Amino acid sequence: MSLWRQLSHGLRVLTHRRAADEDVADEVQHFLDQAAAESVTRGLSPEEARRAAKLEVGNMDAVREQIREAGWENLLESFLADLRFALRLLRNSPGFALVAVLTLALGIGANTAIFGLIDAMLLRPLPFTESDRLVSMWTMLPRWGREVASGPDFQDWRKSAALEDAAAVSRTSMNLGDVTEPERLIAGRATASLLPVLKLHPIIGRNFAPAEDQPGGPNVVLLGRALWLRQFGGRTDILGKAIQLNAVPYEVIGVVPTEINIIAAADVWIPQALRSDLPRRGDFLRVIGRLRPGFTVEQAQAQLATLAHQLSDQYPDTNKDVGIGTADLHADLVHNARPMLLSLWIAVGFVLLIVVANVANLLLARAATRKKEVAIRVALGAKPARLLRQLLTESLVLAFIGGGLGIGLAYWALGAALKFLPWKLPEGVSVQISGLTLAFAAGVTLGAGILFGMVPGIQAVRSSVFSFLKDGRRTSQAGHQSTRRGLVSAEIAIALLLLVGAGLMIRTVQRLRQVDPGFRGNGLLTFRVTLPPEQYSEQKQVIYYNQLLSRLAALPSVQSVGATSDLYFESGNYFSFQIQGHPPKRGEEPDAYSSAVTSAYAQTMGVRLIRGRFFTDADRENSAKVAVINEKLAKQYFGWQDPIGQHVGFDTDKGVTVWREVVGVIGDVHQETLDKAPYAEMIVPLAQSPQPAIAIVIRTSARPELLVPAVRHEVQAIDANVPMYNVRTMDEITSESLLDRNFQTWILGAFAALALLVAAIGIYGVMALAVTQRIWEFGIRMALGAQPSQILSLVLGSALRLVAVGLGIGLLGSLALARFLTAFLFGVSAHDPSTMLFVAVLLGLVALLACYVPAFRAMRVDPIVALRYE
Amino acid sequence: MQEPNTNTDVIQGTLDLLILKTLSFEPMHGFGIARRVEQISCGVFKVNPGSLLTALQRLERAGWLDSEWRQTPNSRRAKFYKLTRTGRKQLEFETADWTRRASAIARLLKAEG
Repeated sequence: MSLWRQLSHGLRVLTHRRAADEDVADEVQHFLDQAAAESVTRGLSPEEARRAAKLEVGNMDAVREQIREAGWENLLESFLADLRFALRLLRNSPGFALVAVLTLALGIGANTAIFGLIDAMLLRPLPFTESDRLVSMWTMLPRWGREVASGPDFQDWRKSAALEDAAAVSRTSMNLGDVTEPERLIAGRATASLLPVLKLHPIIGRNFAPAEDQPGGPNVVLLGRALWLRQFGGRTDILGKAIQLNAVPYEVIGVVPTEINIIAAADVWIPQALRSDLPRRGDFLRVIGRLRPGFTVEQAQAQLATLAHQLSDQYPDTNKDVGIGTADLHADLVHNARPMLLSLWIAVGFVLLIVVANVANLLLARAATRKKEVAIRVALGAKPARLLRQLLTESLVLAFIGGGLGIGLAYWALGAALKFLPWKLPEGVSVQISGLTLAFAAGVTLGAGILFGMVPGIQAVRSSVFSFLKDGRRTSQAGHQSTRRGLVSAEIAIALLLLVGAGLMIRTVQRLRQVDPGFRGNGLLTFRVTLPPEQYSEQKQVIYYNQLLSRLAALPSVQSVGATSDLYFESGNYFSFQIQGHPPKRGEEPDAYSSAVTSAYAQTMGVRLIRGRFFTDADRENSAKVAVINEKLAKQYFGWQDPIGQHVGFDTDKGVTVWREVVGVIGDVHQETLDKAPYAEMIVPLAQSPQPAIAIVIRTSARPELLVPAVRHEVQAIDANVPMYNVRTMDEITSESLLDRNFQTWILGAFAALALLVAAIGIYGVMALAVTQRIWEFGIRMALGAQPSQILSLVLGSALRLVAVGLGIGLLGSLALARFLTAFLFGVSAHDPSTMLFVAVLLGLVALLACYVPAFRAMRVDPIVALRYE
Repeated sequence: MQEPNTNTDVIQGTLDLLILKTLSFEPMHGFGIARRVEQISCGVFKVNPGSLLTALQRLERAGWLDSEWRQTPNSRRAKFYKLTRTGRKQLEFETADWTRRASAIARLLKAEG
């Protein structure tokens, strides 16, 4: 009721301004008339009565104004007037407006984009019902740390009182046949409990039945949504039909929603049948649990620790001192991305701070030129609060134009950044500008506007109260100047922080690029083929590979062709081994990165042979078993002894130890990433250890990409049902391992460059104004005989003090903050003195350059012109 | 512009109550209200016209007063205010509230004396 009155009355005033004003005027006039009439009845003359009445009512205009200001509509009206005025001011100084709006857009845009990523990855809960009860679980091995779980361990964990249920997942790959375009699929294996644990339901069809994930269960398959749409057109009649996986029919029983890819990206899902006789230390399962309602992660950890002790006592051979790790599933999934996102967030926060400082600075510079306007407003009766409101409106207009542009920018940047994101987002997770992100952007914009509006606003109000219209031409700027100089020093300090961060990352990437991986990556094309074991016996596999390798070797521009079970930087297995004559202590068995390769592999990859020989075609299935080790293994386990001729043994699945003679030593290779040191490595001939899945490496004198069609043709010619996949050049694979650092370096570098630019603008602005204000003084100095060079050093000296303070604070700050970067650095200390020095010098030079123009102008002052100035 | 006057400041908190009370007798225009308040309070309260007319506008918006323009004998327009039903309720509420506060303060002062 009263809200309605508020609205309708206010709107009536707004729409019928003149009538409303007339009403107020009439009412005041009536008051006055009545007062006068009353005085007349008390015997005063009409003249005296009117005077008395006027005395009582006071200034009629002031009364009318007081009444007019009361309603909300008048606040709105004065706000609109301020808005119009602010926009007109901006139009009148387009240079200032452009710099302020653009830097704000970049600052707010960068913050919005990074917050959008943080929101999507860290803040938004996983898209599963009651996802806060989902946990990730793993094995903690006493020597090696975190490892996935074994079948028997998983079965025991599952019974824990802390868990409602748990599911085990592993992945494999399979060939999809009997369709128009056969393809290599990633197949997830899951226990029947996976969907219930996640509280997901099939889009169509049903989940695995409890009996279906037992050994000897039927061949049933759940299609991933993407594959269902891609290969089967999203038809529902696919249910109950069979598809061919590795040439074996699997009955389609349902289609699973996309969200399941967050757990493990897969095209299809088949049952994870766990035989009861699986070894306890054969770890291959990822375990997802759902906590019982009321259980916290900490309570579950305590429960599982007890369980781990029991298992340790019960199975000392395999489980001695083996722990069970568990953590919130969401936290576990993002724990790699979190530190990088947080470091980027700190960086964009600094960018915004520097932008805000700079805009405040520009506003202060304008405030100096607007002193007269403010003074006149005050003289005409503007109250300090009203003045502050107007100045704040102006800065908020700037902030919101910048913020609006910034959000648009963030929208675009997020789309672009997703392509360069070092981690692939699972299909189920989307990154858009969410409501929360928009609210964040609006909050940041508002905060920034108030922050950079308050500084000049308070200055203006204070000076208007104390010194308006006195117009101290050359003396009253001191307050402004010290605030502005402080702001510029702060800008330099923050810019230095960002530059140090970017500099350290650039050094890191440089160092990584200098690392010799141990093989020659350029000119190498790689791809994988996998033979379905159902059709290819071990003998047939060898025949297939020999045929493929000789066909590929015959292609033009191909120099050599090799095959390996595991490609460096892509995949790898670590096996424990023993050395003949040195039985290891239990729990301290040596282990090595191991792969099975063909004889031409070392030559093709460009791995150096240090001693002995590499494999030859004479190392066959039935010849003497041999192995080649790397220098690291030789030093670590053979010491000064000659490893050649020694024997090393591997345990096979069947519990037999196969002994091999060491015939050669190769140079060390960074097997996983450039920043991980080479690990002990042992290589065996592929012919003596056939594998159904291999990677082919081809060394070519041409550009590797150009070879792909010819290679594809040869692969198809042998068996059209065996697809080639993971077709990449070796350079692509190695640079992929640098992706996340490159991403971080680029973003930090861009932010640092932006900070440098903004700081330079700030320094230029302050120095230019300072010179303008001191022109008169310079004129006198020149007239008294000062040399231009003395004036120059006067200006540069004051600039240098400013820069030095900023650099000093910045260096201290970067010493404190650099530890946030330590995790990302390689081959360079977080307090690397040369980086700090270089960056400080760079920033100092840019700062001096920014002062040069104003300083030059000061030097060229003509005393006569200067003394006539103003 | 209008400097805040200590006299009106005293009234500020109770001005609404005084207006409502005055209008509870009969509809009145602004000047009438001002005079009535001054007379009844024996000149203790001086009502500032600006504050009074602003308060009237506010109370009208709050739905406690209705207003109408009437022609006065000397042919000028005058705005007459009268209490609405919610206004009457508000008056009761504010009266009770005021009495409670006033007696509390009185007790306090007595206890001290």
